[in-house]
Amino acid sequence: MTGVGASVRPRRRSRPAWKEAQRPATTVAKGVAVVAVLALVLFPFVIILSTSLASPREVVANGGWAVWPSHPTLGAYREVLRGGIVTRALLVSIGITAVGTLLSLACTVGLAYALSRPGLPGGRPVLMLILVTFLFPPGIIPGYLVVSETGLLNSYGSLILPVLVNVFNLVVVRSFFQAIPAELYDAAHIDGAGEFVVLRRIVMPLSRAVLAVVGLFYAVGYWNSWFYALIYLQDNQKWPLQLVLRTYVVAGGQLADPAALGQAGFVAAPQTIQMAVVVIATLPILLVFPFLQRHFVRGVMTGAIKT
Amino acid sequence: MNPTFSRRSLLRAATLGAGVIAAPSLLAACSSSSTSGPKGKQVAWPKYIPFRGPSADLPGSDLVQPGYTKYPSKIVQSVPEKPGDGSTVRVAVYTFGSPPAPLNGNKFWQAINDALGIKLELTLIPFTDLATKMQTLIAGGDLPDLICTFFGISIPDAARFLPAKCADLSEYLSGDAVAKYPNLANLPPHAWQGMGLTNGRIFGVPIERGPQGGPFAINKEKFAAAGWSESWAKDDFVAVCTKLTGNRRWALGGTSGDLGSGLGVGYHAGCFGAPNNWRNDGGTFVSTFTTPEYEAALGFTRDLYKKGLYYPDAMTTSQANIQTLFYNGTVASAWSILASAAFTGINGAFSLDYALPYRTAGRPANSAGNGYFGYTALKKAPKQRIEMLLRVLNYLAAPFGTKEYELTHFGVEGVHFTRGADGAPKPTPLWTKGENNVNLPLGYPCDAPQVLYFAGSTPEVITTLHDWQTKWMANASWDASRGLYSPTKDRHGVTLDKMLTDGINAIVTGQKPVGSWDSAVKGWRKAGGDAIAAEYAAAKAANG
Repeated sequence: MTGVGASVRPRRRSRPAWKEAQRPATTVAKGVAVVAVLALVLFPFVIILSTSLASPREVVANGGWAVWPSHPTLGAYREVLRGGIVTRALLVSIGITAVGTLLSLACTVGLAYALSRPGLPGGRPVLMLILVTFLFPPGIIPGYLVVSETGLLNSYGSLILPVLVNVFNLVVVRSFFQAIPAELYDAAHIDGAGEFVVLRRIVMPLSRAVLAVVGLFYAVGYWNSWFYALIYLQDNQKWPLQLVLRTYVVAGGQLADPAALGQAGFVAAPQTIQMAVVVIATLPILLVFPFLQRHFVRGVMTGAIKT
Repeated sequence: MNPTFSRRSLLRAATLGAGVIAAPSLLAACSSSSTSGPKGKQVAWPKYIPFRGPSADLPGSDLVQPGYTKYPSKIVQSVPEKPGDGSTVRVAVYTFGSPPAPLNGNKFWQAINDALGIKLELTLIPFTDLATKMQTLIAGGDLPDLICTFFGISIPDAARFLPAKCADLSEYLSGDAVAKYPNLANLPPHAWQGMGLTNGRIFGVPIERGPQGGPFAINKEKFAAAGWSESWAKDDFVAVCTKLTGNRRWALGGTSGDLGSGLGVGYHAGCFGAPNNWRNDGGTFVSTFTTPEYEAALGFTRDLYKKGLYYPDAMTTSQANIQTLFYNGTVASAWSILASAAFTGINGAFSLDYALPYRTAGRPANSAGNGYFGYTALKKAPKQRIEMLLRVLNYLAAPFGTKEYELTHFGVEGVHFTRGADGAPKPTPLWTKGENNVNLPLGYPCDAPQVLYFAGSTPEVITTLHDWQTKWMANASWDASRGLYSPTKDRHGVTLDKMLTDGINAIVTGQKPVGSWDSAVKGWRKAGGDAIAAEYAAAKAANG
């Protein structure tokens, strides 16, 4: 008879003590399932990248897409990036995203902090007023008239100021601030700290997760924004990247119009242009996201909990 | 700008905001822009004075485009003086291209400014966003000098907006007065009549397009091998399509366009003898959708779909994809394929042709198009400025075979094009790679009447198209509502069209029986279809 100790097999540290050991077949099945799901997720990205790199003839012959380009070419990217229009729009977008995100974060944090403090005179009505704008947005034309009458038309400010504070983000940040123990505020105040110092030295360092996720929300919003540029900017030299890229996607069918463009030179199939545009538009966000991912779950969960 | 906010602005915002909520057409993309109002007696159409330039190899008429199998050997000048006065001219124009390079680095734009004698300032509007942008431009009150519209996307409440904010061009263009602008006088009558009048007066200059309607493009060799001939009947159509379908190839390429346009329901309806949109029965307007011929055509389309003769992803794919599938032979036919774009896509793999209607028990008719693509309205201004702006449009309307046309359509010689041995412009890389009239969309403020000439095409392409146009227009049926204005159509056209489109798609794809069409049409009539018919009838009676 073997002892009790001998019958207990060592468990892998990664599995909780109450779970049974996994059979090899299950492990393999799970691995296969994960790979299959991963392939399903990645396949469209591969198609997008491959089609953007395929030759127009290959794309046409294949019915509008390519899995593995036989003669890879950067022609579609050259087409999109030529003439400095996209490069300029890229700089505009980076500027709008950077400035807009910083301003939005500053305003959101300031407003959320004020509204999170108990006993703020008029805090409740102000919060209600803000929430009303969330439920009843002003509409295109009144918004346009406000921008026009305040002299912001055809300026970069028109892309930032009308959307400076997002109510959803404000509520998320306010909830996070309210979840910080009151004792910390009290201790700081006893030490003589004013509200600004408390915000800067106590609250903000504790709120990195929510600030990262809200910052990402703002950044993605500014980066993807094209509609306000369409409405408020008359000068196409000021267009951000997304609006310029949109014209390539919309114009896809016309780019191959020989009556206008003639036949000399590279004329891309519309699908190659469209896929190149998707890659260019997606790449910056894909590059930034991994660095903020660790804050993401915590930040989102914070906003989901009512306080 | 004064950063204050007046009571008037607030009221205007509130009123317009309410208007947007109340009027679906303000928020949507498609409604009629034909603007003949019921009031007043109509002025005379501009006199048609054809341009006497280089003679065409294949003669044209008001209904058939002249064909040029080779580039004219002698190019003439049609505008002797610079039209502009050196001022800035602001233009709100839609674009199908990407943004042009800035003026200071754009030789094409500079050459245009120099030729026109103006500083051209463009507010570019991506075509798909035209309706939204137009609302804000109009609501903001800061109108440009030239407002370019597309025919399917109206200026909201055009019948009130145009007389209130835009110049009445009747005294400049009506009757013989247009002779002062010879290139505008060369715009064929179908373009002016398609655009229509507003309250019986002229408020725009049309962008001409051939009145041949949406063509049914076919792969000629495949169709011929399957038994197609010009005098085919309905059963032949089915037999040909059946032969061409199989082995992952389909006879009919289709998309889910408005009112079944991508599926060719309009083409089938014409074959079955249904009217082209509206028919005027002695003063009573009858919609094609209410006719038994249309219902029969719908049932026939459904049968074709059920037999698997359409491309299986027709309801979800894009026009660009269908174009590609047509070029590579996956589908043997498609609707709305433009020859100008198609022949390089096909790249000699097969011959492009367009099919005439098949015979049915009904009386087949070919639907004629509207004859225009859009129109340009001029903001109200002193007479001198209006005349200058019309001279600018006159320059842009310079016909094929003129120096002005060459500049606006091929650029500057030696910079944007060189001449081949036959004298035809051959684009330089600068033109093909972005500095061209797609990205600087000069054709939408005004353009020459279109001709059958495509740089690099073969004479056969031109001959085929000319032949098809001639035969198509010989038995063409016109839309009786062409040029007439219906306020209901203007306000609710998008919603009404969607009701019908949903019904058509549900029937064709087999989700609903053909019998459901009757209730769909009843709903449409009640929701506004009958009102539109009455308004067209009244407009027709008022304008004669």
